[in-house]
This record gives sequence, C-alpha cells and structure tokens, in this order.
Amino acid sequence: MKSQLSQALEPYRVLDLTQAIGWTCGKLLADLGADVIKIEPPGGDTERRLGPFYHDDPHPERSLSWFAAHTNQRGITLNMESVDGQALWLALVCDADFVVESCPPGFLDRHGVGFRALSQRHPQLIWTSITPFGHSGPYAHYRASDVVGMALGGLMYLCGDADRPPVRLRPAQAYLQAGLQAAVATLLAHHHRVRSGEGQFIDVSMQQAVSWTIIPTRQYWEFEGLISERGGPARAFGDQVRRIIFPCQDGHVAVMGVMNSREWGPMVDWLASEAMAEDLTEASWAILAQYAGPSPLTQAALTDAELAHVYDVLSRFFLHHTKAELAEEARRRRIILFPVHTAHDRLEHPQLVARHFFQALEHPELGDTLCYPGAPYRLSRTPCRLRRRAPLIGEHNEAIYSGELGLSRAELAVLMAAGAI
Amino acid sequence: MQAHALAGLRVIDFTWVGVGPLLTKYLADFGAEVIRVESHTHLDSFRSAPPFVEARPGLERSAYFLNLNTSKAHVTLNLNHPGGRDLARRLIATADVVAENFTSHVMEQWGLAYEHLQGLKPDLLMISLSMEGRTGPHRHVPGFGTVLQAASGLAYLTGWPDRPPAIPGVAYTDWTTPFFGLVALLAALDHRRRTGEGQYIDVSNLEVGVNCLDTAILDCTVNGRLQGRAGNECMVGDLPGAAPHGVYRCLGDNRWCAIAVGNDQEWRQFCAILGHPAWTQEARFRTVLTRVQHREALNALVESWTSQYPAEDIMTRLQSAGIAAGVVQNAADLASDPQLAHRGQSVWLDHPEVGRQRYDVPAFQLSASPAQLQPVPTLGQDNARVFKGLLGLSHDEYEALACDGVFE
Repeated sequence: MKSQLSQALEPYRVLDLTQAIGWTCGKLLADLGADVIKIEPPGGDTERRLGPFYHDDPHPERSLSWFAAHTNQRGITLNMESVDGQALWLALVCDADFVVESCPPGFLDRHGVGFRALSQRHPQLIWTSITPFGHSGPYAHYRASDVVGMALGGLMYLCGDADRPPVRLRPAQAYLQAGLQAAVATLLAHHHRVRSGEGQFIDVSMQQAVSWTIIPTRQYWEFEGLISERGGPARAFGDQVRRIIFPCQDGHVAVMGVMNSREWGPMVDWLASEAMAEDLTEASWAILAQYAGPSPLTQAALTDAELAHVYDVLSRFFLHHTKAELAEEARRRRIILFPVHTAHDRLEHPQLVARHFFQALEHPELGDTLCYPGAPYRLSRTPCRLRRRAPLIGEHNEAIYSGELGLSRAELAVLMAAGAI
Repeated sequence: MQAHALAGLRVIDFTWVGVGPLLTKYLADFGAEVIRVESHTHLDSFRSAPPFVEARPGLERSAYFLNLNTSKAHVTLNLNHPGGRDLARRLIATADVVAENFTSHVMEQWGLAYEHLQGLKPDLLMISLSMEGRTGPHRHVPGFGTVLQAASGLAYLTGWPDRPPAIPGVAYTDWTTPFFGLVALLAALDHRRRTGEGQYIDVSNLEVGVNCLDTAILDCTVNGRLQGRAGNECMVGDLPGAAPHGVYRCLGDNRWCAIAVGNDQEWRQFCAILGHPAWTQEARFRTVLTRVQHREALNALVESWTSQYPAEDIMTRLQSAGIAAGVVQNAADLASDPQLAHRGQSVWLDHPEVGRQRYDVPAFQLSASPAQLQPVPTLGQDNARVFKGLLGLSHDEYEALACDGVFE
C-alpha cells in the first residue's frame, strides 16, 4: 500500500526562479511529486498581477494564472540582488537537486550566484535555464513575450484567417512549449547524474521549442520548396488545403471530411440515411474513397469548385444537428469527428469525467474549493495528485529559513526589514 | 565522444506515425537503445506520407518518417504470427521500457498489453499514447491530432471573435503530447531505479490539450466566464493587459511583426523608436488604461508605421530599445534563421537510400550529456544482430523463422 501513495519525484528538491516563460517546467515536476520551492521577490512575483482573478477581484493572492501554474509548490520570498538574499540563496542551493530559472542570460552569473559559481561548489547540481532564444547567438539578448516566441518560432504564421493577420494560439503556448521541453531536459540530465554523479547546465530556447511544433511545414519547405499558409478553419497539407472546422446547430465541429479515404463511404451513408447526401452518392465522387496506400489520407485531387460543393453539402447536414448529436453518431459509425468544445463542455465531457481528470483543491483562505484540470497522464503506481494549492506570498519562509536553515524569528525580522526576504 | 544521458536503457518501440516515434526519438538521441519493431504487413503510415526526399516516394524516403526515427535500431516482426509474438515477448523480457501508440485493442489482441507483460519483466515500464486515454467510455475512439485539437478547447480560444475557430497548420497536440509523455516516463524511470517498481503510463492526447488551457478552465469553474476568441490580445479577464500588443503588417506580401509593449517605460521607448509622431502624444494613448480602451485606433496607427518597413527592420529597431518584437516567420524564414542556425538546430547524417540529409536536433542543449544523433535505420536492418546477437537464436533457428514469415 505504501508504494501506492508515493510520487515519482518525491525525493527531489527544485528551486524555481522562473517567470511565466518557465512555469510549466516547475508545474510538471511538482505535480509528479518533487518538492518545488518557488522563489519570489519580496512582496511577491509581478506575474501574480496577471488576471483573470478569483471572483474577478484583482489581488496578488487571487490570480488564477498563478494558481493554475503553481499547484503542489511551496513558496518563499528572496531578494537575489541583496547581499543577504544572495547568502540565503547559496545556503538553499546546498540542499537542492535542481535549479530552474528564466533570468536574462548572464544576469545571475554577474551577481556571482549563477551556475558558474555554484557548480564549482556543487558539481552535482543540475541547472535549467529557460530563455527566449538561448544563452548565445545573435538574438540571445532579444526580449520576447509569448506572442514574440510564437512568431519567431513559426507557429503563428500557420494560424488565422487568410484575410487577417496571423493569430496566436491561446492561451500562451510558446511559454508552455519552453517549460515543457525544459522539464524533459531536466529529467534527462538527472538520469545522467544518477549514473555519473555529474551535474550540468541546460540551455532551453523558447523559439527552438516552438519550432519543434511545426516540423512538418519546415520539411515541406525543405523538400518541396512549399510555404504552408494559414487557413483559418482549414489546414494546409503541403499544397492541399482542407477544411476541418464546420458550423453546426450550436457551435462547431472538427472533422477529417474529405481527407480520410476510409471515411468517405461511411460519411456519405450517414448523410444518405437522413436524405441529405444530395449528389455525393454519385459514382464520380467515389474517387474520394479510392486511395489505396497504407495511409488513410486521401490524395485525390479535387478542383476548388468540387471541394466547395462537398463542404456545402456537409455544412447543410451539420447545421441540422447539435455538436453532441454529431459526435455521438460519428463515434457509432467510426467517423473521426469531434466537437469544438468550450471550457464548459469539457467539464461535462464523459471521458474526462470517467477518468477523474478534474480535481478539487481546497483554498482555505478563500473558504472555497476550486476545480482544476489534472495531469494528462495516469501513472499506475505513482499517480499525480493535487496535494496543495499554489503558495501564498512568502508562505513557507518560516518553514524553510527557520526550519531548515536555522534562522531565528528575530533574524527573519531583520532580513525582512532589510528587504532581503 | 561525450556521455549519453540514457546509456544502458533499452526501449522496445512499437510506436508508429508521429506521436510515438517522436517520443522514442528523444530517448534514442540521448543514448537509449531504442529498437523499433515494425511489420512489412503493417507498415508505419508515415513511410508513405509526403514530402519525400527528391520528391520520389519510397518506403525509406518520407521526410517526416526520417526526421522522427534518428538514432534507433530497427527490426521487423509479424506480430500476427505466433512466432513473431514470441520473439517480441523475448525482446521485452530484456528491456526497460515498452512504448506504443496503437488504437486501444491492438496490443491486447497480440497479448502484449501491460497486464500480459508484467509477468515477463516485473519492473517493466510501459507507456501508451492514445487519443483519449486507455480507460473510460471513449477509450476506443480513433482520431487524428488535426481534429482532436478542436476537442481539447484550443480551437475554441484561437482566432477572431467574429470568425469561426482557427486551427494551426499542424496537428498541434501531436507535437506536444510526446513531450508530456517523456516527462512522465523519465520520472517513472527514476522511481523504478529507487524502488524496483515498474508501472504503466497512460497518456491522453485529449487531456494534454485540456492541460494546455488551465486558466480557461479555472476561469470557467471559478468565475463562470466562458473565455472566447480574442485575436492576438493578452487578456487578463474581460480586457487585455497591455497595448499595443499584437501582430502588425509590414512592408511586402504577407509579412508581419509581433510586438508586445508592456509598461510605461516600454511605451516611452516605443514612441522614441517611432520618432515621436504627433499621434503618440495624444491624450488617449498616455496611460495603459486609455491605450487599452483605444487599442483599435492605436493598432491602426502602429500599423501605419510598421507597414512602411520590412518586418526584420521593425524587429531589429524595437529590440535595440528593449521591446519584445519578432518577425512572424514562415518555413523559409526558419530555414535561414540566424539564431536557430547558431544553436545548431539540425545535423547532417548519412542514409543508404536517401544519402546525406538534415535532421532536427532536440530543442535544448545539455552541457555534459548532449543529444548525439545517429543515422535512421532501414527496415529490418538490425534483425540478425538483435535476434541472433541479443536473443541468441542460432543461425538455423533464425533461418527457419525467416522462412516461416516471422520477420515479414
């Protein structure tokens, strides 16, 4: 029974100095059981000011983005630019397995508290640095927010309506990709340390992380000289653009449509069963079911007018039904169709409900229990659990500074007055 | 030769298409011994996915396939043949990890589901990547990432408020799920090292998509707000948190620059770079609150400036003043991006069929145990080495099984 309760990364401590660009890294490690200690400047991180807020009340202890990104973490305050703060930092690193930070390249080293100084004393230390572009190169000192990372990483060019500017994927997916790759890198370095005893420095670039999400389009350029363009509700596959999203009675659905040769027959049968197939039952359209290769993706060449006609017939049919009706019948017919879910739809999604994806977490100071999305994986022996809500500002100062570093309350008061914590 | 982060780890890789092979590529590039198992009777459909090297289709020529299968070994086994399943089980008994991303019943029907394999190797780790997870009423639902990303909710939030939802020109969750899977797998491997316990990891593509939206979920469960599409705004509730913030047309066809101006100081710098045109002095743009209120007019004026210059110039000029700005790069821009080139985003490797080609390197740099990409294997190239060398089949046994179609 004991093992059922353990967490995969339980023995490890992570000191997390990141801002939003790196939040996902600490979150993933904490949700897998690591003791992640979030280090904020005195008074709290500026990103606690980011809404939306609990009950729309703008307050640094009520930021929902902060809540969501810092589950299962503890929090302390520390001024890295004060001499006392730096001394505390050096003491904290003695007991840490990982440091994750997103300071501008060179910033911590200039203060003598970066990897360069600390790896001398702690050769086992793993130090993960998450920056917009990496630590060297022509853009190393460029600044970037999520939209800029998404733009330079190439994802944004592929998204949005053709007659409007490219559009970002929301919420901040460039930040997410940076933190996600950083978590992979951190654990890879840990496996090396386990065998060799050696720590190391990890340089994660948000731009490069984003560029990984669009590799197919980069390869179309490389091998066919083709630049994929954005198509709004449609998607380009090489030089073919295929509509994916269609309106229905109460919203939208996403469907492979004419792209999946295996589905063409069942789709036409479905429309015909409601007398809405129009001319799609005619033999000339059977070409859409005739791609014989191992891939189901149809390579049939259609004119724009033919495509538009198929889309019109499909649209008329979808508009007769709700997204739930369409999804249910599509599942029965093994046609790949999903509703474009809203946040509210997802809360009632039978699959997510059956897998207990959403989890309740108590916020005693709010007198409330909030519903969070859980981890996207089930580990049979070390399941991820929401153990604690995001830390309040300096919530664990006493536990860490007094309980672990042995400072007295009087000394803490001095450090607080001096602006060190 | 530098150290390999995952030296000594053996992975039996039953994955195919995109999601699974990307996960095992990262393992292989960092030194794990990844043995891909594929059958001539059921080839990876990415092998027939364009684009192809030199635009010539062929089983070893798909650029997608090649890029996701560096550093692996490759064997062929017909798992519909009892002899094939027997060799698969013998291979698994020597391994640390089994990875797969078939539809739900496939591994089960071969007797290769986790509950069948636990007895072979009690500390085995197995990872499955699927559309909606391996339990629950939708566990058998097939799908493609292109369509599934709409179900996660990303599409509902992406695009313009007055237009239908937009999806990116890639199956976005397919390129995200493998990395979530890697985090879980690497953590579980550490747990196994410490406790001797293996386990089963069930990764849901749908849940990855929903996990990417956490604030949208909390905003709904806590505030009852149904977040919608908001173009390129940085929403902090009902209003954006800054202006100007967005994507602006630049000189040339379909050229754009993303610009994010945060605080007062950045606004002052921004006005200085523009040379303080009269409109920047208008009262309605003086404070962040009024800039947000008048953001449409502001965006049009910003665009009247950006549209006079190439996107690269806008980026360079704003960055020189410390303002976050970046060209909205297309695939051609990325291929000649000086920063990505500096980071060595790709390496050149040889291959017997397609010659010397470019392959993508993992997105981060490890100073002591970096990624070290090895060439992509050809179909079944390691059959003899693995089945004779590793499993100890005699020459006669091997030939008999080959005649029997086990390696088809």
